[in-house]
Amino acid sequence: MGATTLETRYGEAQAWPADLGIDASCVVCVGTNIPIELITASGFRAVPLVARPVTATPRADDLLESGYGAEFRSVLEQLLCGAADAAALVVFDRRFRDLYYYLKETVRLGWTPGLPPLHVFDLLLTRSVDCSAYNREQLRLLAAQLERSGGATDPARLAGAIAAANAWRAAVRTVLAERRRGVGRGAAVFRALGAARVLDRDAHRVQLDALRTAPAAASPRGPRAALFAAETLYHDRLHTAVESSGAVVVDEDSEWGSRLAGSDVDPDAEPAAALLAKYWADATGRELRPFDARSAFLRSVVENDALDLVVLHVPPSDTRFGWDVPAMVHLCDTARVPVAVVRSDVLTDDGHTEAATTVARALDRRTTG
Amino acid sequence: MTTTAGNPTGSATGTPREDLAQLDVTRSLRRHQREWWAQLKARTEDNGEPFVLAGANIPHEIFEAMDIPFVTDVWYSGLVAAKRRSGHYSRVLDEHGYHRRLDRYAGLVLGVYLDEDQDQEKPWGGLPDPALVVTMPDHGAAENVAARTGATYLGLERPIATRPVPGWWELGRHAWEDLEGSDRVDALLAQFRELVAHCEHITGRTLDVDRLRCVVTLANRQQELFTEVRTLLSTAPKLPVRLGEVMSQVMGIQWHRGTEWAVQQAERFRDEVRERVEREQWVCPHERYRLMYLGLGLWQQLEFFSRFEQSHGVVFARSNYLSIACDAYPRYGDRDPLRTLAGRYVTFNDYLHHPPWAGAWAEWESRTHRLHGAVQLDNGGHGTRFITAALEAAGVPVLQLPTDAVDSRAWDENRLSTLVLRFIEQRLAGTGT
Repeated sequence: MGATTLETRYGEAQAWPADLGIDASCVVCVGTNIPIELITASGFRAVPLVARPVTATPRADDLLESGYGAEFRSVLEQLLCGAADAAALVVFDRRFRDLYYYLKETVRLGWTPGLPPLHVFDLLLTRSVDCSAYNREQLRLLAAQLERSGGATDPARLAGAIAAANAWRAAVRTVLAERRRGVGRGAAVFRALGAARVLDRDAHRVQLDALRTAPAAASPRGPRAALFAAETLYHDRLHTAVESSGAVVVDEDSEWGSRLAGSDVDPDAEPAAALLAKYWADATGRELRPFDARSAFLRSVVENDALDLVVLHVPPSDTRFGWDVPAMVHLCDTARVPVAVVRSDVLTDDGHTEAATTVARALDRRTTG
Repeated sequence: MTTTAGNPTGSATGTPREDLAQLDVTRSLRRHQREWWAQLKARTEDNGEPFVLAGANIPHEIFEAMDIPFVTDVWYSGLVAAKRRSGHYSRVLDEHGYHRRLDRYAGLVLGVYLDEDQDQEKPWGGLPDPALVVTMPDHGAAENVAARTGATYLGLERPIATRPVPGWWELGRHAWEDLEGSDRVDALLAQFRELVAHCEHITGRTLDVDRLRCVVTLANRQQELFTEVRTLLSTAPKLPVRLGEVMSQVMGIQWHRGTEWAVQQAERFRDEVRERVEREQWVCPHERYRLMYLGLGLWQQLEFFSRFEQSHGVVFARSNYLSIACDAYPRYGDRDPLRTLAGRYVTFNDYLHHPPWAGAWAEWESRTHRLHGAVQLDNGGHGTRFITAALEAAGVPVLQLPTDAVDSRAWDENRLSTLVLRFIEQRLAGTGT
């Protein structure tokens, strides 16, 4: 029952055109490095706006240069098509700052009169310098913006929001741990987690608990694979390509998969410091420096997951991830974990087939070699 | 960038004026660069002094003040391109697993480090192994250089600008603290202090703030001289110096900013340009159309800018390189020179690329330089669509030039020349003087 509901909701999160059910009680979040607790404590519903696997993004293509990949195009297309127009506010994280700049300009030029106020939550991620004063100011600015948008919070509400979010994180972590132990097929679990895009966290937690207590399907058998991709895995196309070759996905370096929950916000610490510490420590993505920080999750899974394969997805649109690929391959080689580098666009049928073939060949080499 | 970057008289193809000699400062820059390079190699490779490889948007003034040998990564990439070696080093990157769509502009430097050729076969004998690599923003290749050579890597993060001021170029020199916001300046300043700490660690020396203050003052003086050059170029009846030569000169000096030599060279540059204007020595006496070049320096083909002088009376009168030197480098207020430098860099890249800063700036420059059109490098770089929109809205037609600034494999002479000729004939016809 839980699985069916979550699969249905994941399907809604992938559907195009997007219908986020937005109204003035919503704050739309572009990017995951945003303290949702502050938004919900202010009385808003935090709605993630995530890319969808579509191949036509004509309005975004008019504004974005060729250096931007499909994820940014899809997010911008949704915003230009009015997906967030009814919201009280749109908040971007640092990774999406270019879209913030571009949309601010469309507003200034009068091209997008329907957009609500735009705000960027600029959490600096540097590991070498203490920028906590700046980051704390960013939290204050977000709180002030939420207040201008009609929200109101107090310490009790924030503590409640933190507790609720931590409960949801615990449920997510349990599901992830079970998947690593071999319970549930990788892509199905990934979709169940991804339903968080259209369910509020309490509802999602209830569904995840139901999923865990449902009669277990036969545990999948097959080589264990972990996925690392140039773009956030906002779709299950890489999962299905990999699993069609017989492998089982047990982890993916994605904030909509294995990185969805991260650690808790410390409920006993001063709230602002605790929020900043959690979001700073759990940040993902190519902007993290140095490479040791970016590759920490890879090191963790090759050491702990008993992996049979690491899949690196470098689609034709990539302009950044490729700089890390040789070092990631080296890291896997050192750990004696085979690697498949998938270079096709899995959003297309041909690219999906090519990805499955690439993975199957890598598994064959592993078997024979 | 580098005096070796192309032939500023444009003799390769086309028929630019034969009688307009190369600037004397082009030759003196080349001499200086050779001497500087020989000293750098001797200090780093013979004496074992620590060497820093730095990105373009880094406060090089710190290295000058601490007397640390350093090289700007994109300067060396430009050198590789000018030596017509970019294809080779791009292939080296391919062979090491770095796919072709990754930016080669600074990435060529990694190709040079990865190449197993003898050093003497590399441009100017190759680069020393760095003790420290520092970039902002990270372009991806630099961290690999550090990993390859065992250097420390420092990647700096610029805080996001949330108060866009289209007329930033009129405010930034003195009112940068108000323009940029103290919290943002503080955040970058903290990272600059970390950079200083790294420099002190690798050298065993301490930064002398008074010395840094002097270096910043010299750098500001150099940009003032550049501003005089820009005024000469923009207000003279016709263009007195070719764009390729201006770009080479400006960047050749810029990478040595904060030195007495740089100020003296900028003075000589200013004087020579002024002399040409006074003598009415023009690049193209029958000048009809004045164009702007937008984007990364076309270091592999600087001659391209003079291809259309004789045939169509087209000159390139403006690029980002001189103008950013005039408008984004000078920052005054020397109570804390490190903070002044943070004020310079905290929005620097956005001024060049992002809306609303870049488009408004380009549109303003098109008016002050009396431009008829613009040619913009189309290599997937960010912000170009909005710059185009701003210029077109102001009546300045824009041609997108689909190539790469340094990778010779992306250069198709016939196709690009055809695009420019069609642009001249279809979009500029009737607008010229």
